[in-house]
Amino acid sequence: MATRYLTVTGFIPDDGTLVLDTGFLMEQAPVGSIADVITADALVVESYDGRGIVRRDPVATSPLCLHDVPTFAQRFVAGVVPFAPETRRLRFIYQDRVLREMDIPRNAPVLELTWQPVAEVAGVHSVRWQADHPDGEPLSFIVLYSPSADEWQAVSLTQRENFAVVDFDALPGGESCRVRVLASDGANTTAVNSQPFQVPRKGLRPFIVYPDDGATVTAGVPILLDGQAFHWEDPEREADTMTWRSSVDGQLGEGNRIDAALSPGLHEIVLTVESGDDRGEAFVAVTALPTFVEEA
Amino acid sequence: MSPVPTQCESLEATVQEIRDALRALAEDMADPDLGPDEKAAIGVQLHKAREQLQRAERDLDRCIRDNSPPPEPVTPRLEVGYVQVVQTVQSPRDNELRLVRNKQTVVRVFVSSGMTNGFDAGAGPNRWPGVSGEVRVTDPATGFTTGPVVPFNPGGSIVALPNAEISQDYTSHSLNFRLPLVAVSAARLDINVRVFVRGHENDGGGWTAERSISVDLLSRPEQEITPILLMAARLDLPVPIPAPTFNDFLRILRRGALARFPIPFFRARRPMTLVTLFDLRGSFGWAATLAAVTTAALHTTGFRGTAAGLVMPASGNAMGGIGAPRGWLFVPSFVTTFGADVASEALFAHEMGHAHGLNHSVCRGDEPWLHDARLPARTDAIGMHAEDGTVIPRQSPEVMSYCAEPRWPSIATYNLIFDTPI
Repeated sequence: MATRYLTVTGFIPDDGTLVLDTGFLMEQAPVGSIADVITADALVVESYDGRGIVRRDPVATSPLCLHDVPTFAQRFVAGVVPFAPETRRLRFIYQDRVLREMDIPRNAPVLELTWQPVAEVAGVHSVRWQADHPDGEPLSFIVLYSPSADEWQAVSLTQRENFAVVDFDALPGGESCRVRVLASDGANTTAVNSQPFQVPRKGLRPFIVYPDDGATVTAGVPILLDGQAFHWEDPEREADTMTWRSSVDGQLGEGNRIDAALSPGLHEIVLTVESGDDRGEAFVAVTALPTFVEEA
Repeated sequence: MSPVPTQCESLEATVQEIRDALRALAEDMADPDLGPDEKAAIGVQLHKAREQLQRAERDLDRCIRDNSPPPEPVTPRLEVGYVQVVQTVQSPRDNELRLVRNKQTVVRVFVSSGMTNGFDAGAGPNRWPGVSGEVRVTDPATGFTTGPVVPFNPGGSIVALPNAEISQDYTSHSLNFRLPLVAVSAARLDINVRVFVRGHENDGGGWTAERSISVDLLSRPEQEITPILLMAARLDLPVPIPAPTFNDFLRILRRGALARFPIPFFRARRPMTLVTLFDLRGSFGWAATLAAVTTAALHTTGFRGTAAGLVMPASGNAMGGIGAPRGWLFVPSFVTTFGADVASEALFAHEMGHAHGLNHSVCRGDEPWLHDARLPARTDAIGMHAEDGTVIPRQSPEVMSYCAEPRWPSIATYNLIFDTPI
């Protein structure tokens, strides 16, 4: 059986306990998520089967800043550890103190996705499911979304509720999209996928970093026009062209970041981005005030 | 001989009285009938009178100098004392801190009036109003020149001060030029500065001055960041608090982190809009939210850059932000509160500083462990918010502390972030 991995995220409060976000098993460990050396600051996860220890793995920790709240030494915990299938108990150790022990239930959660997608899904949907645990264990859930076969993204944080509100207008589209719900008792994880469905493609999303909408600048003095774009369906795709235009001055230039001196007046600055067949626009309103008045 | 000013006439009279007394004593001393004791007494009086005369003449000279018009003709003697090139912070001299290519850059030109004779040209003694200038920037590799760039000071000019009064901690003590992007894309810049009194642009003799310097710009990678826009919807809230918009995120990213750190620009990735059901009125809810954000990042294929969570402000929230120094965590992550104010922007930068591996500097005294011994409590360099064109003076609170605004990076923070791109 291929190795699976357990997420271990949470924090160690001042009182020396361990608060964990619910762990979920995953098929692949994200690059860089596995700590390979047990250091003095590591949270050590010991895995036991019925006879003894089967694994001992570190998880990275780091001081936690709760801004403006004077605390002594809370620590943040984040990473994944390989999960041996025979594991029956996990023991979490920090600086030689056992902070928590967790028995692994023998059975996995039972999960059924009750939300049924229509052929094309758009807008806000309440994705619902039913879940139970044969051993009566409490369950947590996380909802993932895939616009394509090899890409998943979280559309919820870890939660106890059996529904999640998902805005499909703020997600990449595709012909064969799926929703996946993960249910976990802290280790045993059950996943169910929806039937494939279509979500409208969003294409390019240009945006103007600077200036802000409603900004006031000095006319005649070059200002930075800073724009970017991402592609909802293809995050690695670069823009072919980025063109800037003013409602007053016409064409301003090409490129993601350019200098432009605006003539006096109220400008609508439009950034047009093209990539392949995709095209998108972003715009801001900018007022250019006349250049400074010469002193008498 | 010029007449004695009215204010000094009494001093002149005193000097004359002492001179008369000295003359009388000298005549007395010449009397051949004086005995030795009388000569000694007159000698003492002579000595005292000479000392009095010395003091009185010095007082009279000062009075005449202070109350006489300066010599004509009266013209400024402009000098360009120092040219500072700054993106977020810069050392007081010699532009020692490294600069980043393709980042917004301000050139500060400190112009001295060169006046010491007390002449008042309308802006106070030894000051000269209406001083402006222009900057030209040349890429020595190509010979391409940008400019002239004009200053962005209010009215486009400053009052030139005498050298002794100039302080780098004041925006108005320098002519400030924001360089166009095209000018800061080269590896080396030759910067030529020419300053002048308005109306005398082509006059010599102190009405104009010029100076050239060169600086290097280093290439530094863009920084990727994934916006995580968080709706706060704990179940007892009558109405959920909506997530900040993507534009809200871009604004605080730019004004908070980009303005403070040696990063040319951020590459914002596709945003994730998520719901936190945790209670942000307590520190537990914040820490749980941060942990859950990290769990979500772990479940997101090919998650890249910093996971930067943002919530809208809400009364009763326990804190403004939370984050952890990167260390060996797989993904740097933090959550802060959006606000269009300096404190929110500094908070965003503070938590991003943790993402770069920095701990706390100790300014207020109750910053939590770990304390970062590399960082001072207060800044030790001249700060510049290049977008706003405002100077953040030395001894402002260090950005990694909990002191009140304006928090800004010290030289150490600047260098550490320069050397630890995410």
